[in-house]
Amino acid sequence: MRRQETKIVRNVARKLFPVLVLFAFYLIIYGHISPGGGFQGGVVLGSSLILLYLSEGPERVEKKFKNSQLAILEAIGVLTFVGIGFLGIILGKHFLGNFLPIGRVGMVPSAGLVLLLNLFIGTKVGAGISLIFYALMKFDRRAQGE
Amino acid sequence: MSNFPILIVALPLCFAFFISLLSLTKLNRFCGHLALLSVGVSFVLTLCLGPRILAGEKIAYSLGNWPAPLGINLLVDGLSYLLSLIFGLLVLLSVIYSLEDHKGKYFSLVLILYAGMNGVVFTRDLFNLYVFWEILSISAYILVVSPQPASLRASLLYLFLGSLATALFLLGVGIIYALAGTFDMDALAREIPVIWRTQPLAILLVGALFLVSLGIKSGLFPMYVWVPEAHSLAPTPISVLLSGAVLKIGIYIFIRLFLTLFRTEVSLEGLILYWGLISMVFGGCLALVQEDLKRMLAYSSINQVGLILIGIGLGTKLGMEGSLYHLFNHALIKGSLFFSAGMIIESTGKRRIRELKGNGIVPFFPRFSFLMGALAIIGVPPLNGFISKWLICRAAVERGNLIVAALILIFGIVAAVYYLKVVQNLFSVAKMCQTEKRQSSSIPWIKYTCLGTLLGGSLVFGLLPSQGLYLIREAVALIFP
Repeated sequence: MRRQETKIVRNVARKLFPVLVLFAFYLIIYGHISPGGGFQGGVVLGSSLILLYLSEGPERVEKKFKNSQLAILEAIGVLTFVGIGFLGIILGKHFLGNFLPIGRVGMVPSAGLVLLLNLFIGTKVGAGISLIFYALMKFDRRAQGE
Repeated sequence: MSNFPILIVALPLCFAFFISLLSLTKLNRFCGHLALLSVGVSFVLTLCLGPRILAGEKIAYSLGNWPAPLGINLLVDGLSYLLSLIFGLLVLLSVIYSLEDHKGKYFSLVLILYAGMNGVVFTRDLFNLYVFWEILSISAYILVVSPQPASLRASLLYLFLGSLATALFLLGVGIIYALAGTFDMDALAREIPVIWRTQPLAILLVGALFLVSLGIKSGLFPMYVWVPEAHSLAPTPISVLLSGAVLKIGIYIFIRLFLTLFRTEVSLEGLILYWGLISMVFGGCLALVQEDLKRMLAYSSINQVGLILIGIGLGTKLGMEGSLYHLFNHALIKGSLFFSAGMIIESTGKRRIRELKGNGIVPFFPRFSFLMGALAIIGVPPLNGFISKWLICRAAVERGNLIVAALILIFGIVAAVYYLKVVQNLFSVAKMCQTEKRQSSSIPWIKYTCLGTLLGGSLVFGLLPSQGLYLIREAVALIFP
């Protein structure tokens, strides 16, 4: 099935994609000192993939970002999150207890675990949003095909 | 030992995602065993907490070393321990039961459901309670879907009503946060009476929102529509979990919020009593006319939840004891009833009560256990249902509420009518079916062990009621010190 947008849309989307990814990581990494955070950044990450999907068509995008890879990424995001929580217990603190240096207020490498946790939440949410979108689009394509 | 509360919640969660990772690989068939392992470990950890909880201790745990009003806290006390015990047992048996029939993602969802249940009962943070409740509800919505096409509709209905319930609950939580500025339950318990003096209407609104949402989730009279649909069409182990555990979450949250935390001048006892009464009458009457076996069990669940609420609504210590004991017993009995109904349906391929006639179609053990479960839930003496019904009835009499006591007894008889109708069909010899040689599909022995455990449990707790009452003593002491 062919579904390709016009050249303008595809070009703009292709140029926009890296910027969106950068913005997503900005939101994730600055989550603990400014508005943003893992979930928000993850949603932007997912929507950047959605933009690519809508402009380039399903085949090319699903070849580059495979469904199974995204599923693995999603599971790894959660597992690492819980793993960091357990690391806190192993190092003699409570679950999710902070074991990293706290750093200076306002700097990016500060607030101990929060930055790391945000990163993994971002991974999980980004992969999750894309997976949901894939599933919905598959449903849509099947409905159209019938 | 001090980390046990969080391990009980986090281990299944961790394994759930590990299993979803594993289900993508070639080791797909080990998902069930891994789920069994993690539920088993979690259940054993729950059991390990037992001696300390039953001695009257409360085990608190603060996540990330943040103390009470700032961070999220977990607390295991008598009430949450009782519920966690029920959940652990039922989830363990359901996983064992579904080892052969399901694979992959199914187990991952069951584990998320289990983590959510334990999270709801352990947490001391109102918002966190909402989050865990939503986690467990969402996995329950998905798990309701079985190969039968009608189950999709049931799942969607459950999804819509369930989301309405959790949305109302969230609204209530938001209003409380706007008023009190904290989610911590201990802090709220101090704040609410103060706010009550200045803004009683707001608190009443929150109470109403919570009540409606809990009513939907525990399948009380006007909002029960999802219960028969979801219970009857879900896979057997999920029916067990829905009836035995998920319906009980609503009752737990009710007790936790309204009886141990937010004690205001408005007494809810009358409301709860009559609500429970209507639910009981309604569930019982509708169960009488059901033709589908599992649907009948679902209406019977509405009936029994009504009975549990009556015990709470009586507002005495004895009533609460009876209620909590019935909550525990109902989980055991309904578990065994749903398991045996599932086996009967599985071996004969028939769901309608009328079609179950004929000796020899159904293997003996499911028939026998259905009989035992029916007797237990009707309230025949050596079994556990009798003890809790007796306690609730006695509490009603002591309260001078003879009509309630009489109604409980009458609906015991109604329950006898609709259960014994099935039993009669199961044990009768139909002449037409005998000529028809039917090869009933054999049931693996591991499924029998699940059924046997629950039956044994209902016999033990019927013969030794002091053991069961010992389990719930700490929970009751929390409400009536």
